Amino acid sequence: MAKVKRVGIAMDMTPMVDVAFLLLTFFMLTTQFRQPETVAVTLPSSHAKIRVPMSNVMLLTIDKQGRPWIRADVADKSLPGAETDVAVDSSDLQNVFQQLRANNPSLVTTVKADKETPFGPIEDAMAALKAAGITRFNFITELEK
Amino acid sequence: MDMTPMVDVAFLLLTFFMLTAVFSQPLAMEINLPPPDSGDIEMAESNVLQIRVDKDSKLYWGFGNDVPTATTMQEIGTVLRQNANRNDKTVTVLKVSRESEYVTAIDLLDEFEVADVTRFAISPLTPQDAALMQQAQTSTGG
Repeated sequence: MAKVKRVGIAMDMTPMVDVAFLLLTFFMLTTQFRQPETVAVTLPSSHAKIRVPMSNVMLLTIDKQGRPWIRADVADKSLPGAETDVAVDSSDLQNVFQQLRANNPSLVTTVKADKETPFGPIEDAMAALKAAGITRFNFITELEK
Repeated sequence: MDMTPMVDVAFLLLTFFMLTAVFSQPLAMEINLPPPDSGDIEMAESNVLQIRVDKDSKLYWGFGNDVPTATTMQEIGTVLRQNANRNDKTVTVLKVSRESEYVTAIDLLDEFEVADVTRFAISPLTPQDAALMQQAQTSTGG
């Protein structure tokens, strides 16, 4: 029997490593970390398919107890909700909306509320939005399964 | 030079970023309110389809100030399809009790979208509406 000659295989890994680094760079640059949620809400579901923008958002969260919280992408960090969600008195909502809008007129208003929130506070929030001149806003929902 | 450790680290990072990448954006339904200075619009009662929700999240539908009919979330789609676009003057008004749950309002708005109801308004529930729903309840013996 002829002796089987063992051959040491040397594979060129360079192209694979190149691709790996390319993907790594892509994912590193495109990753946006989810902002930590100060107020936890269970979203209702709907068939809506409009995507919420990632920046220039004013987020009004209404928790289970009906308390409004506000967060907005504004340059002036002294404004309420500029850095993290802050609780706002419902009688003060209109004022806060107007201040935030004055600082960043391109804010898109989104409203997030818990499934079990009573409708009363939502109605009040809508009235405040309307009074502040915000006639177009979005209710954030989950996709219906 | 042995590149193996560097490549190992690169793959580890790659896996981490691939797994933590957020691809799912939340979805939203858009609501347009009338501007605050727009006046009241006079409408024939028979052209106003009223969808009312009482404090126990029960649904009622009816035209104008007629005594409404009790309905359910499963049937409301059919009601909307049959009545909301009956003629091009029909406007649907959604009145939700302050004590009812937010999810009911969202489900109804979603039904509006599915049934292609574009002319609708959200309006506060008045004591008169509450009385009408009470009447509907007693007339059916519920």
